[in-house]
Amino acid sequence: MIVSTNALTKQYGDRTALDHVDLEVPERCVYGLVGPNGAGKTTLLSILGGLRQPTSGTVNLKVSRQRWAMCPDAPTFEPWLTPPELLDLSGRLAGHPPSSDEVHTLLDEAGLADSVKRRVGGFSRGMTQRLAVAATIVARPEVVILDEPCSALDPAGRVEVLDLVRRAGESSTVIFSSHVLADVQRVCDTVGVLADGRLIHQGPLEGLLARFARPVWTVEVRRSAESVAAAFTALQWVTESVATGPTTLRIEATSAGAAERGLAGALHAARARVVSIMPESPDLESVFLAMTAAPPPSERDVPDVPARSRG
Amino acid sequence: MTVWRLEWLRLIRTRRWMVLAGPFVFFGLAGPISIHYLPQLLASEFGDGAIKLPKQVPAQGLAEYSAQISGLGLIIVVAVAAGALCIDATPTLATFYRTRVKSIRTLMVPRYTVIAAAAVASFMIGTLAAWYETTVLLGPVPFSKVATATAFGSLYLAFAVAVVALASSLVRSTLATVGISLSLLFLLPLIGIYRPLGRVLPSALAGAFGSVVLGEGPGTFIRPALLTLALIPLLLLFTISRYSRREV
Repeated sequence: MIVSTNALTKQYGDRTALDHVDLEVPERCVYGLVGPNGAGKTTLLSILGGLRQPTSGTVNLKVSRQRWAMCPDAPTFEPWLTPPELLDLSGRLAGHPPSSDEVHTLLDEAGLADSVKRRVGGFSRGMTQRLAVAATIVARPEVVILDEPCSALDPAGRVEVLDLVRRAGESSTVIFSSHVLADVQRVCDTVGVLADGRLIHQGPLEGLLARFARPVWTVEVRRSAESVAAAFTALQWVTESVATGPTTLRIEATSAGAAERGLAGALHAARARVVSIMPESPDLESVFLAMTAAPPPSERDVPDVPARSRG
Repeated sequence: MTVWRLEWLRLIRTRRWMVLAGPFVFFGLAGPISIHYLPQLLASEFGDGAIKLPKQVPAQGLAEYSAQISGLGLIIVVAVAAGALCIDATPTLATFYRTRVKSIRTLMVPRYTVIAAAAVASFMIGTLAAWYETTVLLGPVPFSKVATATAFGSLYLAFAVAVVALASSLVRSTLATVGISLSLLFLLPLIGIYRPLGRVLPSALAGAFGSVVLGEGPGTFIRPALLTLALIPLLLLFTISRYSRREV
């Protein structure tokens, strides 16, 4: 583990912001920290970044703090600097002065190539956020902490920043917090779920999605989805069968295996003219909602449906 | 872009240099003029011979500059310095700097040095203006006196900037830093009313410029100057230590 915490606790007066958090971040991973507002994400990242002290517990770092870089959720810079000056400053402060080529390549990747002569004080929030991610990466840190780096971005800006994050993950360990779970799912391979200051889950994203995946199929038929759905309700391995449209139905099974064995035969028996059969892939958002709403399913409930690969 | 260049750009691009130098130059030019034309001004207001003034000496032109700039100049220096030295005033900007440097000293030393140097340079430019005008309008003042007086005045300004750095480590906001700094700087002369202390405190240097150009020997100000020289690094060390322990 490049960074781990042991029973990390942070209290602000009577309020417990972090409660015995045991974080484990593997080397060279993109670790997504998710949780609702007030869950303690920023507090945890600030402690990892050395900006705040824990009330109790320890932080174990495998690399020197000088090899870390942090980007806050609403970054601000000296408004009178230009983007190349800022990136050069950022690199130099961290002990890695970048070349002019490096600076301009990064600005290009951040979608700021047309703004190199402007002062950053005139930038929109989205531009500032993209600049902040570039200014974090330019220092070539071993650990990159990004607190909500996409929070102010439009869809195009989000794609650019996520690409930067993904690229940073190729040479560094990235710890990335976000409210947008689709973003986390898109770039992270490991996730930690914080709720009320407690780390309620952490581990590989694939495992988490598989653990919470439900054996659900969407079936498209040529006509009369309702009658097909009605035929399925009588089957023992079907827990729910609902027509979601004139030609589509959703079938939830007791297990993936049972459905895989029985689905084709049942459709044939119902004389359905099948257009398509699609397993419903779990997404982090539904998993997150399920985790924060109810206890996770026990191991014996783990279905054997494969998790959707990340896009 | 080194940290030193960053501070230089902060001074130039934010026009802080103009805010600093402007008043010093203005009062440097205005002080000797007001002394030169004081008899005419009084005569036009109260009539010829109504008020008799003692014979003017050239040094009064410089002393007038010192009197005019001592209060306003100090407030301007404190305000401009606070703008540069309050590293934690904007937490997100503080995060950018603090997560990149090994020690807060890397940030604080250039900030202090550049802003103190700018304050001293502004004071010197104002003094040069006042000296030139005094020489032209009132008569010559020996260079040695002006140089000694300027050295004491500059040392006091450097001390004032160090006090601002200290205040910025006690509170986060720029406004509060200005308030605490001015309180400390204006409180010191009050403590100095107790004469044994008043002779050695840095506040003794606040009036040193006027006194020296008017003829007082520099010996009176050697002890406060030495104490001030010792206090400046101590204040900065304390400031760095406070910043290092502070959470963002």
